Amino acid sequence: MPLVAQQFLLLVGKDLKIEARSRQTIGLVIVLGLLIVVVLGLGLGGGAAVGLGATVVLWVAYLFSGVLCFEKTMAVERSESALAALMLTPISRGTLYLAKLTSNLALMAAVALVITPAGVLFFSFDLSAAPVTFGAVMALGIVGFAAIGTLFAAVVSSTRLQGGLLAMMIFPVALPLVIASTQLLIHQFRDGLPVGGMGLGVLVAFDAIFLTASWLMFELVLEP
Amino acid sequence: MNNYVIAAYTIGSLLLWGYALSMWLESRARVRVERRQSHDRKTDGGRP
Amino acid sequence: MSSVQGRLIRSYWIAVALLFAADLVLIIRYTPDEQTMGAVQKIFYLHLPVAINTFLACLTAFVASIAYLWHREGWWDDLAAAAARVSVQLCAVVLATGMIWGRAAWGVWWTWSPRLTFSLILFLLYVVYLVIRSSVEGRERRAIIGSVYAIIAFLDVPLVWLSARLLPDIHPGSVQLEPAMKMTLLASFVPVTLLAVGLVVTRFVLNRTASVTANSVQASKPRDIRTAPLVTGAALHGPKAIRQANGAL
Repeated sequence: MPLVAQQFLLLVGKDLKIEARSRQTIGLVIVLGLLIVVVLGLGLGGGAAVGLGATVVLWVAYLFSGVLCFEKTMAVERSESALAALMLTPISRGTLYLAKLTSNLALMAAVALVITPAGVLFFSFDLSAAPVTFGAVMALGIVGFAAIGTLFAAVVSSTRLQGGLLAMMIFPVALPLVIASTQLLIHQFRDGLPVGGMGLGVLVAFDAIFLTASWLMFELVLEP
Repeated sequence: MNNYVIAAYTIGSLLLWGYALSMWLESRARVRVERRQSHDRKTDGGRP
Repeated sequence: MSSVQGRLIRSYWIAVALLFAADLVLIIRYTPDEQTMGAVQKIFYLHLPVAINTFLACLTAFVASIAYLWHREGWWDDLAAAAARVSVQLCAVVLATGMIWGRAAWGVWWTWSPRLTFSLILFLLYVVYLVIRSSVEGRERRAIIGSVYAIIAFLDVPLVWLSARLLPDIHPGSVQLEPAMKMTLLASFVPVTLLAVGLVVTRFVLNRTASVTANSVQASKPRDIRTAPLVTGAALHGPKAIRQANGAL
Protein backbone atom coordinates (compact mmCIF):
# COMPACT_ATOMS: atom_id res chain seq x y z
CA MET A 1 0.00 0.00 0.00
CA PRO A 2 1.43 3.38 -0.88
CA LEU A 3 2.67 5.45 2.02
CA VAL A 4 0.08 8.16 1.55
CA ALA A 5 -2.74 5.66 1.84
CA GLN A 6 -1.18 4.20 4.97
CA GLN A 7 -0.86 7.61 6.56
CA PHE A 8 -4.40 8.45 5.57
CA LEU A 9 -5.84 5.29 7.09
CA LEU A 10 -3.78 5.85 10.21
CA LEU A 11 -5.12 9.36 10.68
CA VAL A 12 -8.72 8.41 10.03
CA GLY A 13 -8.35 5.42 12.30
CA LYS A 14 -6.97 7.65 15.06
CA ASP A 15 -9.88 10.06 14.80
CA LEU A 16 -12.49 7.34 14.75
CA LYS A 17 -10.85 5.52 17.62
CA ILE A 18 -10.84 8.67 19.72
CA GLU A 19 -14.46 9.17 18.86
CA ALA A 20 -15.37 5.56 19.56
CA ARG A 21 -13.79 5.74 22.99
CA SER A 22 -15.23 9.02 24.17
CA ARG A 23 -18.36 9.06 22.04
CA GLN A 24 -18.87 12.69 22.95
CA THR A 25 -19.06 14.27 19.52
CA ILE A 26 -21.30 11.70 17.93
CA GLY A 27 -23.82 11.83 20.74
CA LEU A 28 -24.01 15.61 20.79
CA VAL A 29 -24.28 15.93 17.07
CA ILE A 30 -26.96 13.31 16.58
CA VAL A 31 -29.04 14.68 19.42
CA LEU A 32 -28.73 18.22 18.15
CA GLY A 33 -29.77 17.19 14.66
CA LEU A 34 -32.67 15.23 16.00
CA LEU A 35 -33.86 18.09 18.19
CA ILE A 36 -33.79 20.49 15.28
CA VAL A 37 -35.88 18.11 13.20
CA VAL A 38 -38.31 17.66 16.09
CA VAL A 39 -38.66 21.37 16.82
CA LEU A 40 -39.19 22.24 13.19
CA GLY A 41 -41.48 19.27 12.78
CA LEU A 42 -43.62 20.47 15.64
CA GLY A 43 -43.73 23.94 14.22
CA LEU A 44 -44.18 23.18 10.58
CA GLY A 45 -45.04 19.56 10.16
CA GLY A 46 -48.72 19.99 10.76
CA GLY A 47 -49.82 21.87 7.72
CA ALA A 48 -47.31 24.30 6.36
CA ALA A 49 -44.55 22.09 5.12
CA VAL A 50 -45.74 18.56 4.70
CA GLY A 51 -43.77 16.30 2.43
CA LEU A 52 -41.07 18.24 0.63
CA GLY A 53 -40.58 20.55 3.58
CA ALA A 54 -38.57 17.69 5.01
CA THR A 55 -35.66 18.41 2.66
CA VAL A 56 -35.16 21.94 3.93
CA VAL A 57 -35.66 20.93 7.56
CA LEU A 58 -33.11 18.17 7.12
CA TRP A 59 -30.68 20.62 5.60
CA VAL A 60 -31.07 22.97 8.56
CA ALA A 61 -30.38 20.05 10.87
CA TYR A 62 -27.34 18.97 8.81
CA LEU A 63 -25.98 22.50 8.79
CA PHE A 64 -26.13 23.07 12.52
CA SER A 65 -25.08 19.62 13.60
CA GLY A 66 -22.39 19.65 10.94
CA VAL A 67 -20.92 22.89 12.21
CA LEU A 68 -20.81 21.47 15.73
CA CYS A 69 -19.26 18.26 14.42
CA PHE A 70 -16.50 20.04 12.47
CA GLU A 71 -15.71 22.29 15.41
CA LYS A 72 -15.32 19.36 17.75
CA THR A 73 -13.22 17.20 15.45
CA MET A 74 -10.86 20.09 14.98
CA ALA A 75 -10.86 20.89 18.70
CA VAL A 76 -9.55 17.38 19.33
CA GLU A 77 -6.36 18.45 17.58
CA ARG A 78 -6.01 21.46 19.83
CA SER A 79 -5.79 19.47 23.05
CA GLU A 80 -2.23 18.69 24.14
CA SER A 81 -0.78 20.26 21.00
CA ALA A 82 -1.75 17.24 18.94
CA LEU A 83 -1.89 19.33 15.82
CA ALA A 84 1.56 20.75 16.39
CA ALA A 85 2.88 17.21 16.68
CA LEU A 86 1.09 16.17 13.51
CA MET A 87 2.52 19.10 11.63
CA LEU A 88 6.03 18.07 12.62
CA THR A 89 5.59 14.69 10.95
CA PRO A 90 6.31 14.36 7.23
CA ILE A 91 2.62 13.78 6.50
CA SER A 92 1.52 16.13 3.74
CA ARG A 93 -1.09 18.73 4.61
CA GLY A 94 -3.27 17.45 1.80
CA THR A 95 -3.38 14.04 3.45
CA LEU A 96 -4.23 15.68 6.77
CA TYR A 97 -7.11 17.43 5.08
CA LEU A 98 -8.46 14.30 3.44
CA ALA A 99 -8.21 12.37 6.66
CA LYS A 100 -10.01 15.08 8.61
CA LEU A 101 -12.64 15.26 5.90
CA THR A 102 -13.19 11.52 5.97
CA SER A 103 -13.57 11.51 9.75
CA ASN A 104 -16.08 14.33 9.45
CA LEU A 105 -17.95 12.50 6.72
CA ALA A 106 -18.09 9.36 8.79
CA LEU A 107 -19.67 11.29 11.64
CA MET A 108 -22.04 13.15 9.34
CA ALA A 109 -23.07 9.84 7.77
CA ALA A 110 -24.01 8.59 11.22
CA VAL A 111 -26.01 11.75 11.86
CA ALA A 112 -27.72 11.55 8.49
CA LEU A 113 -28.62 7.92 9.01
CA VAL A 114 -30.43 8.83 12.21
CA ILE A 115 -32.13 12.09 11.43
CA THR A 116 -33.07 11.57 7.79
CA PRO A 117 -35.56 8.82 8.53
CA ALA A 118 -36.84 10.93 11.42
CA GLY A 119 -37.37 13.90 9.13
CA VAL A 120 -39.03 11.82 6.46
CA LEU A 121 -41.30 10.37 9.09
CA PHE A 122 -42.23 13.60 10.85
CA PHE A 123 -43.07 15.30 7.61
CA SER A 124 -44.80 12.35 6.00
CA PHE A 125 -42.51 12.65 3.03
CA ASP A 126 -43.36 10.05 0.43
CA LEU A 127 -40.05 8.89 -0.97
CA SER A 128 -41.39 6.06 -3.07
CA ALA A 129 -41.05 7.94 -6.33
CA ALA A 130 -37.28 8.15 -6.20
CA PRO A 131 -35.70 7.09 -2.93
CA VAL A 132 -32.24 6.50 -4.39
CA THR A 133 -32.20 9.93 -5.99
CA PHE A 134 -33.16 11.48 -2.70
CA GLY A 135 -30.35 9.69 -0.93
CA ALA A 136 -27.82 10.55 -3.65
CA VAL A 137 -28.74 14.24 -3.72
CA MET A 138 -28.56 14.63 0.05
CA ALA A 139 -25.32 12.66 0.23
CA LEU A 140 -23.66 14.80 -2.45
CA GLY A 141 -24.80 17.91 -0.64
CA ILE A 142 -23.31 16.73 2.64
CA VAL A 143 -20.01 15.87 0.97
CA GLY A 144 -19.62 19.40 -0.40
CA PHE A 145 -20.67 20.88 2.91
CA ALA A 146 -18.12 18.81 4.81
CA ALA A 147 -15.43 19.71 2.28
CA ILE A 148 -15.51 23.42 3.05
CA GLY A 149 -16.54 22.82 6.65
CA THR A 150 -13.28 20.97 7.30
CA LEU A 151 -11.25 23.83 5.85
CA PHE A 152 -13.10 26.55 7.73
CA ALA A 153 -13.04 24.60 10.98
CA ALA A 154 -9.26 24.57 10.75
CA VAL A 155 -9.34 28.33 10.22
CA VAL A 156 -11.59 29.03 13.17
CA SER A 157 -9.98 26.61 15.58
CA SER A 158 -6.61 28.28 15.23
CA THR A 159 -7.97 31.58 16.43
CA ARG A 160 -9.26 32.35 19.86
CA LEU A 161 -12.63 33.41 18.59
CA GLN A 162 -16.13 33.10 19.82
CA GLY A 163 -18.46 30.41 18.60
CA GLY A 164 -20.82 31.11 15.77
CA LEU A 165 -17.97 32.20 13.55
CA LEU A 166 -17.75 28.82 11.88
CA ALA A 167 -21.47 28.78 11.14
CA MET A 168 -21.20 32.29 9.78
CA MET A 169 -18.38 31.31 7.43
CA ILE A 170 -19.88 28.07 6.18
CA PHE A 171 -23.53 28.97 5.67
CA PRO A 172 -23.31 31.49 2.83
CA VAL A 173 -20.72 29.39 1.00
CA ALA A 174 -22.80 26.23 1.40
CA LEU A 175 -26.02 27.86 0.24
CA PRO A 176 -25.59 26.77 -3.41
CA LEU A 177 -25.57 23.18 -2.19
CA VAL A 178 -28.71 23.71 -0.15
CA ILE A 179 -30.50 25.52 -2.95
CA ALA A 180 -29.44 23.10 -5.65
CA SER A 181 -30.32 19.96 -3.72
CA THR A 182 -33.68 21.25 -2.49
CA GLN A 183 -34.65 22.62 -5.89
CA LEU A 184 -33.65 19.40 -7.64
CA LEU A 185 -35.69 17.39 -5.17
CA ILE A 186 -38.65 19.75 -5.55
CA HIS A 187 -38.51 19.26 -9.30
CA GLN A 188 -38.33 15.52 -8.80
CA PHE A 189 -41.04 14.99 -6.22
CA ARG A 190 -43.49 17.77 -6.90
CA ASP A 191 -43.16 18.27 -10.63
CA GLY A 192 -42.14 14.78 -11.61
CA LEU A 193 -39.04 15.95 -13.45
CA PRO A 194 -36.31 13.40 -12.84
CA VAL A 195 -33.08 14.78 -11.45
CA GLY A 196 -31.07 12.84 -13.98
CA GLY A 197 -27.41 12.95 -14.84
CA MET A 198 -27.39 16.71 -15.35
CA GLY A 199 -28.74 17.46 -11.90
CA LEU A 200 -26.42 15.05 -10.15
CA GLY A 201 -23.60 16.28 -12.36
CA VAL A 202 -24.15 19.82 -11.10
CA LEU A 203 -23.86 18.65 -7.50
CA VAL A 204 -20.78 16.59 -8.30
CA ALA A 205 -19.21 19.66 -9.94
CA PHE A 206 -19.95 21.78 -6.86
CA ASP A 207 -18.39 19.11 -4.66
CA ALA A 208 -15.33 18.90 -6.89
CA ILE A 209 -14.77 22.65 -6.69
CA PHE A 210 -15.14 22.74 -2.92
CA LEU A 211 -12.94 19.69 -2.42
CA THR A 212 -10.15 20.90 -4.67
CA ALA A 213 -10.06 24.43 -3.29
CA SER A 214 -10.16 23.27 0.32
CA TRP A 215 -7.57 20.55 -0.24
CA LEU A 216 -5.20 23.06 -1.83
CA MET A 217 -5.60 25.73 0.80
CA PHE A 218 -5.70 23.59 3.93
CA GLU A 219 -2.02 23.95 4.69
CA LEU A 220 -2.27 27.72 4.58
CA VAL A 221 -4.68 27.85 7.46
CA LEU A 222 -3.15 25.23 9.69
CA GLU A 223 -1.50 26.65 12.72
CA PRO A 224 -0.29 24.65 15.69
CA MET B 1 -41.45 60.49 -13.61
CA ASN B 2 -42.33 57.35 -11.76
CA ASN B 3 -42.00 57.58 -7.95
CA TYR B 4 -40.20 54.29 -7.75
CA VAL B 5 -37.60 55.40 -10.26
CA ILE B 6 -37.00 58.56 -8.25
CA ALA B 7 -36.73 56.53 -5.03
CA ALA B 8 -34.30 54.08 -6.60
CA TYR B 9 -32.03 56.74 -8.01
CA THR B 10 -32.17 58.82 -4.84
CA ILE B 11 -31.30 55.91 -2.58
CA GLY B 12 -28.67 54.62 -5.00
CA SER B 13 -26.99 57.97 -5.41
CA LEU B 14 -27.13 58.74 -1.68
CA LEU B 15 -25.50 55.42 -0.89
CA LEU B 16 -22.79 55.64 -3.55
CA TRP B 17 -21.86 59.22 -2.86
CA GLY B 18 -22.31 58.66 0.86
CA TYR B 19 -19.61 56.00 0.71
CA ALA B 20 -17.27 58.42 -1.04
CA LEU B 21 -18.06 61.19 1.42
CA SER B 22 -17.53 59.01 4.47
CA MET B 23 -14.11 57.95 3.20
CA TRP B 24 -13.18 61.56 2.60
CA LEU B 25 -14.22 62.46 6.15
CA GLU B 26 -12.24 59.50 7.46
CA SER B 27 -9.10 60.57 5.63
CA ARG B 28 -9.50 64.10 6.95
CA ALA B 29 -9.88 62.81 10.51
CA ARG B 30 -6.84 60.64 10.06
CA VAL B 31 -4.74 63.55 8.82
CA ARG B 32 -5.79 65.52 11.91
CA VAL B 33 -4.86 62.61 14.22
CA GLU B 34 -1.53 62.13 12.47
CA ARG B 35 -0.68 65.80 12.70
CA ARG B 36 -1.44 65.76 16.41
CA GLN B 37 0.58 62.57 16.94
CA SER B 38 3.65 63.84 15.14
CA HIS B 39 3.36 67.10 17.09
CA ASP B 40 3.24 65.08 20.31
CA ARG B 41 6.26 63.07 19.26
CA LYS B 42 8.25 66.17 18.46
CA THR B 43 7.37 67.92 21.70
CA ASP B 44 7.58 64.68 23.72
CA GLY B 45 3.91 64.92 24.72
CA GLY B 46 4.49 68.14 26.55
CA ARG B 47 6.64 66.57 29.23
CA PRO B 48 9.29 68.91 30.59
CA MET C 1 0.36 64.01 0.29
CA SER C 2 1.49 66.51 -2.30
CA SER C 3 -0.82 69.21 -3.52
CA VAL C 4 -0.55 67.94 -7.10
CA GLN C 5 -1.93 64.61 -5.97
CA GLY C 6 -4.59 66.39 -3.97
CA ARG C 7 -5.64 68.42 -6.98
CA LEU C 8 -5.74 65.34 -9.23
CA ILE C 9 -7.91 63.53 -6.76
CA ARG C 10 -10.27 66.46 -6.44
CA SER C 11 -10.52 66.84 -10.22
CA TYR C 12 -11.22 63.15 -10.55
CA TRP C 13 -14.12 63.22 -8.14
CA ILE C 14 -15.54 66.41 -9.60
CA ALA C 15 -15.42 64.82 -13.05
CA VAL C 16 -17.16 61.69 -11.79
CA ALA C 17 -19.84 63.78 -10.08
CA LEU C 18 -20.45 65.77 -13.27
CA LEU C 19 -20.61 62.63 -15.41
CA PHE C 20 -22.99 61.10 -12.90
CA ALA C 21 -25.27 64.14 -13.00
CA ALA C 22 -25.14 64.25 -16.79
CA ASP C 23 -26.04 60.58 -16.88
CA LEU C 24 -29.05 61.20 -14.66
CA VAL C 25 -30.22 63.96 -16.96
CA LEU C 26 -29.77 61.66 -19.95
CA ILE C 27 -31.78 58.90 -18.31
CA ILE C 28 -34.59 61.10 -17.12
CA ARG C 29 -35.01 63.40 -20.08
CA TYR C 30 -33.81 61.75 -23.23
CA THR C 31 -34.12 58.01 -22.90
CA PRO C 32 -37.43 56.58 -24.06
CA ASP C 33 -39.60 54.43 -21.82
CA GLU C 34 -39.59 50.72 -22.40
CA GLN C 35 -42.82 49.36 -23.84
CA THR C 36 -43.68 46.53 -21.47
CA MET C 37 -42.60 47.95 -18.14
CA GLY C 38 -42.80 51.65 -18.71
CA ALA C 39 -40.77 54.20 -16.87
CA VAL C 40 -39.90 51.76 -14.07
CA GLN C 41 -37.45 49.96 -16.31
CA LYS C 42 -35.15 52.97 -16.04
CA ILE C 43 -33.93 51.74 -12.68
CA PHE C 44 -32.05 49.22 -14.80
CA TYR C 45 -29.55 51.89 -15.96
CA LEU C 46 -28.30 52.23 -12.40
CA HIS C 47 -28.86 48.67 -11.27
CA LEU C 48 -26.90 46.84 -13.95
CA PRO C 49 -23.69 48.93 -13.99
CA VAL C 50 -23.54 48.76 -10.19
CA ALA C 51 -24.11 44.99 -10.33
CA ILE C 52 -21.32 44.50 -12.85
CA ASN C 53 -19.00 46.61 -10.73
CA THR C 54 -19.89 44.58 -7.66
CA PHE C 55 -18.74 41.50 -9.50
CA LEU C 56 -15.56 43.25 -10.63
CA ALA C 57 -14.85 44.26 -7.04
CA CYS C 58 -15.28 40.65 -5.93
CA LEU C 59 -12.94 39.59 -8.72
CA THR C 60 -10.39 42.17 -7.59
CA ALA C 61 -10.55 40.82 -4.05
CA PHE C 62 -10.06 37.30 -5.43
CA VAL C 63 -7.02 38.20 -7.51
CA ALA C 64 -5.53 40.31 -4.72
CA SER C 65 -6.02 37.44 -2.27
CA ILE C 66 -4.25 34.99 -4.52
CA ALA C 67 -1.47 37.54 -5.02
CA TYR C 68 -1.17 37.96 -1.27
CA LEU C 69 -0.89 34.23 -0.65
CA TRP C 70 1.73 34.06 -3.37
CA HIS C 71 3.87 37.08 -2.47
CA ARG C 72 2.91 37.71 1.19
CA GLU C 73 3.07 41.47 0.75
CA GLY C 74 0.68 43.46 2.95
CA TRP C 75 -0.06 45.62 -0.08
CA TRP C 76 -2.16 42.88 -1.67
CA ASP C 77 -4.12 42.20 1.47
CA ASP C 78 -5.01 45.88 1.81
CA LEU C 79 -6.26 45.83 -1.75
CA ALA C 80 -8.32 42.70 -1.18
CA ALA C 81 -9.90 44.19 1.93
CA ALA C 82 -10.68 47.42 0.11
CA ALA C 83 -12.22 45.65 -2.86
CA ALA C 84 -14.31 43.37 -0.67
CA ARG C 85 -15.58 46.28 1.38
CA VAL C 86 -16.60 48.19 -1.72
CA SER C 87 -18.28 45.09 -3.10
CA VAL C 88 -20.46 44.94 0.01
CA GLN C 89 -21.30 48.61 -0.40
CA LEU C 90 -22.13 48.22 -4.07
CA CYS C 91 -24.11 45.06 -3.44
CA ALA C 92 -26.24 47.00 -0.96
CA VAL C 93 -27.11 49.37 -3.79
CA VAL C 94 -27.86 46.43 -6.08
CA LEU C 95 -30.20 44.96 -3.50
CA ALA C 96 -31.92 48.26 -2.78
CA THR C 97 -32.50 49.14 -6.42
CA GLY C 98 -33.44 45.55 -7.24
CA MET C 99 -36.04 45.47 -4.48
CA ILE C 100 -37.51 48.81 -5.50
CA TRP C 101 -37.66 47.62 -9.08
CA GLY C 102 -39.35 44.42 -7.97
CA ARG C 103 -41.87 46.35 -5.93
CA ALA C 104 -42.62 48.70 -8.79
CA ALA C 105 -42.86 46.09 -11.50
CA TRP C 106 -44.39 43.13 -9.68
CA GLY C 107 -45.84 44.51 -6.48
CA VAL C 108 -43.63 42.64 -4.02
CA TRP C 109 -40.66 43.92 -2.04
CA TRP C 110 -39.08 40.50 -1.98
CA THR C 111 -39.28 37.25 -3.87
CA TRP C 112 -36.87 34.33 -4.01
CA SER C 113 -36.18 34.89 -7.67
CA PRO C 114 -32.78 33.96 -9.10
CA ARG C 115 -31.47 37.53 -9.34
CA LEU C 116 -32.57 38.80 -5.95
CA THR C 117 -31.46 35.61 -4.21
CA PHE C 118 -28.10 35.79 -5.95
CA SER C 119 -27.61 39.40 -4.87
CA LEU C 120 -28.55 38.60 -1.31
CA ILE C 121 -26.18 35.66 -1.01
CA LEU C 122 -23.37 37.64 -2.62
CA PHE C 123 -23.97 40.40 -0.10
CA LEU C 124 -23.87 37.92 2.78
CA LEU C 125 -20.72 36.23 1.50
CA TYR C 126 -18.74 39.42 1.58
CA VAL C 127 -20.29 40.80 4.76
CA VAL C 128 -18.99 37.64 6.41
CA TYR C 129 -15.57 38.46 4.96
CA LEU C 130 -15.64 41.83 6.72
CA VAL C 131 -16.78 40.29 10.00
CA ILE C 132 -14.01 37.68 9.85
CA ARG C 133 -11.41 40.34 9.25
CA SER C 134 -12.55 42.35 12.22
CA SER C 135 -12.55 39.23 14.42
CA VAL C 136 -9.07 37.94 13.76
CA GLU C 137 -6.11 39.45 15.58
CA GLY C 138 -2.66 39.57 14.14
CA ARG C 139 -2.01 41.18 10.81
CA GLU C 140 -0.58 38.19 9.04
CA ARG C 141 -3.11 35.73 10.36
CA ARG C 142 -5.94 38.02 9.42
CA ALA C 143 -4.54 38.43 5.93
CA ILE C 144 -4.13 34.70 5.38
CA ILE C 145 -7.58 33.82 6.68
CA GLY C 146 -9.14 36.68 4.76
CA SER C 147 -7.42 35.62 1.56
CA VAL C 148 -8.50 32.00 1.89
CA TYR C 149 -12.06 33.06 2.52
CA ALA C 150 -12.10 35.59 -0.32
CA ILE C 151 -10.89 32.91 -2.72
CA ILE C 152 -13.54 30.44 -1.62
CA ALA C 153 -16.22 33.13 -1.69
CA PHE C 154 -15.38 34.10 -5.24
CA LEU C 155 -15.30 30.49 -6.39
CA ASP C 156 -18.70 30.23 -4.79
CA VAL C 157 -20.16 33.07 -6.87
CA PRO C 158 -20.77 31.04 -10.06
CA LEU C 159 -22.14 28.22 -7.91
CA VAL C 160 -24.60 30.62 -6.30
CA TRP C 161 -25.57 31.89 -9.73
CA LEU C 162 -26.13 28.40 -11.11
CA SER C 163 -28.09 27.17 -8.14
CA ALA C 164 -30.18 30.34 -7.98
CA ARG C 165 -31.18 29.74 -11.59
CA LEU C 166 -32.96 26.62 -10.42
CA LEU C 167 -35.27 28.77 -8.33
CA PRO C 168 -38.65 29.60 -9.80
CA ASP C 169 -38.56 32.91 -11.61
CA ILE C 170 -41.95 34.54 -11.42
CA HIS C 171 -40.87 37.27 -13.79
CA PRO C 172 -39.18 35.79 -16.83
CA GLY C 173 -38.69 37.55 -20.11
CA SER C 174 -35.71 39.60 -21.13
CA VAL C 175 -35.89 43.31 -21.64
CA GLN C 176 -35.95 44.55 -25.21
CA LEU C 177 -33.58 47.45 -25.68
CA GLU C 178 -33.85 50.00 -28.45
CA PRO C 179 -30.62 51.56 -29.72
CA ALA C 180 -31.21 54.72 -27.68
CA MET C 181 -31.57 52.64 -24.55
CA LYS C 182 -28.45 50.65 -25.31
CA MET C 183 -26.58 53.92 -25.65
CA THR C 184 -27.87 55.11 -22.31
CA LEU C 185 -26.86 51.85 -20.68
CA LEU C 186 -23.33 52.09 -22.07
CA ALA C 187 -23.13 55.72 -21.06
CA SER C 188 -24.27 54.86 -17.53
CA PHE C 189 -21.40 52.45 -17.16
CA VAL C 190 -18.88 55.27 -17.29
CA PRO C 191 -19.71 57.31 -14.17
CA VAL C 192 -20.66 54.23 -12.14
CA THR C 193 -17.45 52.37 -12.97
CA LEU C 194 -15.32 55.44 -12.34
CA LEU C 195 -17.06 55.91 -9.03
CA ALA C 196 -16.53 52.26 -8.07
CA VAL C 197 -12.86 52.41 -9.03
CA GLY C 198 -12.52 55.62 -7.04
CA LEU C 199 -14.10 53.96 -4.00
CA VAL C 200 -11.76 50.97 -4.18
CA VAL C 201 -8.63 53.08 -4.69
CA THR C 202 -9.53 55.49 -1.90
CA ARG C 203 -10.32 52.64 0.46
CA PHE C 204 -7.07 50.98 -0.54
CA VAL C 205 -5.06 54.10 0.21
CA LEU C 206 -6.78 54.43 3.58
CA ASN C 207 -6.02 50.78 4.39
CA ARG C 208 -2.45 51.19 3.23
CA THR C 209 -1.72 54.24 5.36
CA ALA C 210 -3.26 52.47 8.34
CA SER C 211 -1.08 49.39 7.74
CA VAL C 212 2.05 51.44 7.26
CA THR C 213 1.35 53.40 10.44
CA ALA C 214 0.67 50.19 12.36
CA ASN C 215 3.89 48.64 11.07
CA SER C 216 6.01 51.64 12.02
CA VAL C 217 4.43 51.89 15.48
CA GLN C 218 5.20 48.22 16.02
CA ALA C 219 8.79 48.63 14.90
CA SER C 220 9.47 51.69 16.99
CA LYS C 221 8.15 50.36 20.30
CA PRO C 222 11.04 50.89 22.72
CA ARG C 223 12.31 47.84 24.45
CA ASP C 224 12.93 48.56 28.11
CA ILE C 225 16.25 47.11 29.15
CA ARG C 226 15.15 46.64 32.73
CA THR C 227 12.00 44.65 32.11
CA ALA C 228 13.21 42.54 29.19
CA PRO C 229 14.80 39.68 31.20
CA LEU C 230 11.79 39.61 33.52
CA VAL C 231 9.45 39.32 30.61
CA THR C 232 11.42 36.51 29.05
CA GLY C 233 11.76 34.79 32.39
CA ALA C 234 8.04 34.92 32.96
CA ALA C 235 7.44 33.44 29.55
CA LEU C 236 9.77 30.55 30.22
CA HIS C 237 9.14 29.78 33.85
CA GLY C 238 5.76 31.20 34.62
CA PRO C 239 4.74 33.86 37.12
CA LYS C 240 5.09 31.53 40.14
CA ALA C 241 8.79 31.00 39.43
CA ILE C 242 9.26 34.75 39.13
CA ARG C 243 7.67 35.27 42.54
CA GLN C 244 9.95 32.60 44.02
CA ALA C 245 12.97 34.19 42.41
CA ASN C 246 11.91 37.57 43.79
CA GLY C 247 11.41 36.03 47.22
CA ALA C 248 14.86 34.48 47.09
CA LEU C 249 16.30 37.89 46.27
